[in-house]
Amino acid sequence: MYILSARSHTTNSSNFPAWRSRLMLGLLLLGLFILAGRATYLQGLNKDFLQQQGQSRYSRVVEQNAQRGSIKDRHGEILAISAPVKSVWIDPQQVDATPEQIRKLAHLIGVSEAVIQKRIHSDKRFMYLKRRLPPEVAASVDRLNIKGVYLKREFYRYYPTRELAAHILGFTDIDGKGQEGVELAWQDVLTGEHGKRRVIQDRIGRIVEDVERIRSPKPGQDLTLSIDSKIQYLAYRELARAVKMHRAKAASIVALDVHTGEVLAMANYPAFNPNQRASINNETIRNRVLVDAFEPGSTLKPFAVAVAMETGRVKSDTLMETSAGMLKVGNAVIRDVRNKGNLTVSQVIQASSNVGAAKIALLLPPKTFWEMLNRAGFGTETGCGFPGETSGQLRPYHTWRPIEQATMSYGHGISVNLMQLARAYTIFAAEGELKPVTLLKRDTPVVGQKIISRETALAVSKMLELAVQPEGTGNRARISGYRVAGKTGTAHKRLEKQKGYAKDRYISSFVGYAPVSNPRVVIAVLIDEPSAGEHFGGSVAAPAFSRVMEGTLRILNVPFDEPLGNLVTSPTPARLENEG
Amino acid sequence: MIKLNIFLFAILIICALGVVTAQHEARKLFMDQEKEQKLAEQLKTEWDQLQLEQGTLAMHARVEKIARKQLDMITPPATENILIIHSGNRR
Repeated sequence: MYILSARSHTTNSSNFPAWRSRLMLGLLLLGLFILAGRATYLQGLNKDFLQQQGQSRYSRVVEQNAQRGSIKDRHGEILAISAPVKSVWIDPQQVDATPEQIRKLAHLIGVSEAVIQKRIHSDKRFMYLKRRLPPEVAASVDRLNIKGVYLKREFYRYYPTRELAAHILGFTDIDGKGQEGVELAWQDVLTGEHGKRRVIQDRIGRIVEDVERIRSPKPGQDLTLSIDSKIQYLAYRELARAVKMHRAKAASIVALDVHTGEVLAMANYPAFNPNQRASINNETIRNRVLVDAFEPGSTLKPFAVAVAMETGRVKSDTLMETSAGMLKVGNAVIRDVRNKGNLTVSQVIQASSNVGAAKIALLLPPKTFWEMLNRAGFGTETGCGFPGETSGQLRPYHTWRPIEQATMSYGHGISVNLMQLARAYTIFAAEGELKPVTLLKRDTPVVGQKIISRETALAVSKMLELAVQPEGTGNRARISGYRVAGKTGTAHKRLEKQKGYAKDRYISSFVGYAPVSNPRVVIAVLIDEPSAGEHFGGSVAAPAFSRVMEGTLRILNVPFDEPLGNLVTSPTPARLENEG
Repeated sequence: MIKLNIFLFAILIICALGVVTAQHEARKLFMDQEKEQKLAEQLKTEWDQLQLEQGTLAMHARVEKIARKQLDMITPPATENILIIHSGNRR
């Protein structure tokens, strides 16, 4: 300033007007003030904003994927596990690659050059090129060292047991979110929390330094199911075999632990391989045990008998007149496969007489019968937490006509899912208690809701044991060394889109438990549309039940409760022509 | 007064150096921790791979096939089973 003014003074002395130097000084000062003001503005008032902007040019917060918890069976065997893989993504604004590099990249990740070019010329800041590459391939991509091409760590879900437990487990979508089954139902437990890190990047976006960990990724929790993978394998194998042998459309099976209510196995055929999305379609995806309702047929007879006994209307030796082999209710007729004469209540179960069961049911007020079925869990979901479970259909009793009440006693006009049916049989296996079912490992016995008295339960149990004797409909369910109780079911399928039943399409089922002296396992088998000649529950479903039950008791080390020679083939050929 | 100022100035310098050292140390420790965490992650990955491999090799279908076809093993009939019951552990 001093020099300037001094100079202006000297110039002034050499014939310049004084105002020129003053103007000059004023302009310079003005410039100075503007600069100072600007500096104050940037440094003082706007500091935070600018600093943040600056930082965002080199420092960045990146997400870190958390690993999804694995799913194990009750003995800790892996059923589903997440393995790390890498996904390739680009920032199209940054990509700078030679055609040669792009060609190599396309070759490595198996995406056409045209597609890559198209994505590069997008105006987004983030695009996937290829997801879930194996670690080796990802390393090769990394070595190409193309500007703007990055790798992201992700996880891929593997199911080492393939289709065995597919319906129980379900699967996840490409982002690791549960879509079906346990993966969906326990999504919250299995998912972890993504982590966040702040990093410093260089000009082309490579991470130079980790600055801080804002949040560590929290891996999801592991889930231990009640499933025993050995029993599951056995069940699936026998199911597949039964479907092939009887040329059936589909089949389902479920095994419950009587003491704990745990689901030991649950399988359907056909199944899908969760590792191959292409194998998933409408037919294979359904967990029929829970999401499909069917008319159970004769497997429902014991419930009519149980409530009639519980309310004192019949005893196990009360004689029921079925001699005509048919019964007229209203203007409908209920028939037995053949005339069975006078039967005791026990024999009604053993020979599976529709007329007998209908007569027993008609002794009851609708409300009493409805209450029994309702308390046995029909018409309500089993509460195992499986997504998409059907509750079946149990219509309110005030809408019942007598014929409906009669047909319901042998399982028509009511629909249930297989899990409900298996659970309802715990009433007879556990001395009157309905055990709550679970898909998660429980391991301690639970107390169920008391539905019928111990005496009634034991009496019905005795009848169910008679039903698998050589004279019973379920004689092919017998197992060497164990006392078995159970009931066959054969139901005509309902016609689609119209009223009535299909004449030649059946659902064959068997529900039973063993050993009778101290029941340990309930197994329910359902074979949908067997078409190889046989269709009765006793000849289609009972043998499958027997094989799975035998293996299960062996796996669980259940002691024998009968001498081993109990399976001498019966002298008279098995009477399998009975209904149900 | 000047003495006090010099003294305070010295303390100031020492503190400043301390801050720098501490920051440097923190960075170093953070890097070490990152390294260890990366190692842990790697080991976890390997463990998962091994579990997966075990799961695949020990598949029941595979075990059964090998046992039956290659090793000629059979399921012993019930008559050849002897069940030993531990009285305290009966279920």
